[in-house]
Amino acid sequence: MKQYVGQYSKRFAVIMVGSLLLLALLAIIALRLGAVPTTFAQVINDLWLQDGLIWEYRVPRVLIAIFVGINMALAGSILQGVTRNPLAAPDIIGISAGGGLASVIMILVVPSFPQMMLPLAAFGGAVFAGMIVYFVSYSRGGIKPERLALTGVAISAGVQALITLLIVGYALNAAQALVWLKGSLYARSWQHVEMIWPWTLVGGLVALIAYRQLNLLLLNEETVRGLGMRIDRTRLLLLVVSVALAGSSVAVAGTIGFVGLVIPHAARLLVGSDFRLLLPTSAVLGALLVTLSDLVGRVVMPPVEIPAGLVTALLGAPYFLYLLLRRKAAKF
Amino acid sequence: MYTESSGRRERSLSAFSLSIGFFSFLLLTVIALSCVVGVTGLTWSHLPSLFTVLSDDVISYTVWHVRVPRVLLGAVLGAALAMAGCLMQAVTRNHLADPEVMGINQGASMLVVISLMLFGSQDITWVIIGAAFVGVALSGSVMYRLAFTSEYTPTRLVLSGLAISFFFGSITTGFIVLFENDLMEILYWMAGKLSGASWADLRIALIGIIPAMVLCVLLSNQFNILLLGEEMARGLGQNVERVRRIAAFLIIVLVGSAVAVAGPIGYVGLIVPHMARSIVGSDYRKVVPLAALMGATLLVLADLAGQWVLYPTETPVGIITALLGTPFFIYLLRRRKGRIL
Repeated sequence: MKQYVGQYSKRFAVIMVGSLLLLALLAIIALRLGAVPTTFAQVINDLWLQDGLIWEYRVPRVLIAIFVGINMALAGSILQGVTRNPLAAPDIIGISAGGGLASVIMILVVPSFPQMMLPLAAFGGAVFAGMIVYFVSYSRGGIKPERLALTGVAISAGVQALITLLIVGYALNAAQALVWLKGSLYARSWQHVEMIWPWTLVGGLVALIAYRQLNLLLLNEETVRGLGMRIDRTRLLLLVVSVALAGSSVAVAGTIGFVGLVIPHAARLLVGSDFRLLLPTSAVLGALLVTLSDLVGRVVMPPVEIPAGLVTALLGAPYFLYLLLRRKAAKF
Repeated sequence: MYTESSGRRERSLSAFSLSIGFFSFLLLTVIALSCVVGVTGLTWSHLPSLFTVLSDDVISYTVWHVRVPRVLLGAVLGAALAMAGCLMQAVTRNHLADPEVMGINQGASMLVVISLMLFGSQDITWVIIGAAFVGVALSGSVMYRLAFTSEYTPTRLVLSGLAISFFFGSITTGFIVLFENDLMEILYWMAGKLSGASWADLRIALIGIIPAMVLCVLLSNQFNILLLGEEMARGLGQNVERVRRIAAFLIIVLVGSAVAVAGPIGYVGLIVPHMARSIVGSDYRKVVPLAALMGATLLVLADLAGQWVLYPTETPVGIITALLGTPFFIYLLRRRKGRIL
């Protein structure tokens, strides 16, 4: 057992260092490339002076991509731990959909809404949806993990129907709402960075501290109770953390899908299922995926920008499908 | 022992014929109502003239060429989707199976939207039909593989179905966002609608649906055997693979026809088979015909509701069924008897 852990720790160190370097590289490239051509000298100059195009537009964008990636990946890892289901993710169980509905209402129904209300509405919607899922799946004796996941699916379906209804009803302005629903980092500013980083910091810290609880939750329910853990309270706390993480990233970037679903699997394949290693790995890989997706979306067919959430879906979904279709699927 | 079981059979047979009678009556009433309710200026005195051949006034045109095809299409598609739901639930032995839940509708939507954009200006009826069938077959075969990987529990199947439909949905939205031209029309199509249905649509739908329905009823006893489990079915001499393939083919025909003429309409296939089973038990020889009747009634009612809820805006019927689907899904998760989890 010890040897097993040791083997993974060494791999963990290598993977962390490697992906952090890759992330740094991607971030630099993302600062350099874009609709307006710039040189590396200009990038360094702008960063030094904290001014100009790079500093005003591209730096916050890269930061948001990183924070969103971390938040979504952590939220997904936690949800998969709590529901003991490898297919749970904020976008599957309705949290993202709640945020989406709230912001579509904002964009379509409220005329000339203040731009900064959008993140608030999205966050509120995500939290609200999370609460509904929790209470609907609650019954005497706590929540059953499986029922939580399926209730999430049901709520998510209903919310999607409402979103479609609104979009069909207000089709004239629907393009903006659709881009938002796909999750885009277009025109994000430092204000958005300020909105998300505290959530990433606090949520990330709580998640990293709670790795023991998450590890325990993977055990048989009786065993966990026997070990003296207040299982329902722990579950609730962890759910709150993951809703906060997912909600804040939906708030600034829209519903960026598949990060919370796919990244934990990739991380698990790399470092095993011990949450002590899994959570940091997921966080870094998530940041990597969203940064890459945003970069790709900006560079592929300028001046048209492909929403980052669409790129994450295109990159993540085939991988996920491959995972599902493998014979040994049940193992993860 | 023998008498008891045969007695039970008789009782449920009478429940069956009673419910068939009741729902036939209900369906006819609902169809008649939807054909005439709200047609401006229609009064009882028009009744004879409606059935006169070659009467060409506006009212009889409205009834015969706007209302009747729409309502009949609703009934046919409702029956087809309910049967497809029965088939899917029988074959996967998963009570949460439904074309929408398993991502099949979304796959079809994706291909239709893409082909609408590629061939938008030309005659598109056949393009839509082709794309719908290919899409249903494509996403259906993914789910088919998943469903028969033995590790897949119902929960897992539903979640992976949702993930797959997210994938297709993302691509669809991506295409719309990037190459939007007829945004309104495409969005409306994607919501699943019956408005604007013509006799031609009805004919197209019937070509595939009628034979598929007949086959489905004829094969219903095979599904009973399939439900006993793979081992048992083999033991009873059933060619399990072949029955599954036929069922998959029927599902493709039923759902493909429905998507082709009306867009993705979900949850009829989830809701109706459960209701039918709760009335006549789990014998598919009774469940399938009853579900077809109930599905027809449900979809015609949902379409009628869709015209009234947000009057004068028309709500696509797919949205109504999706909104019905959510509470029903939760009910399935929470009910005490025969709980899934």
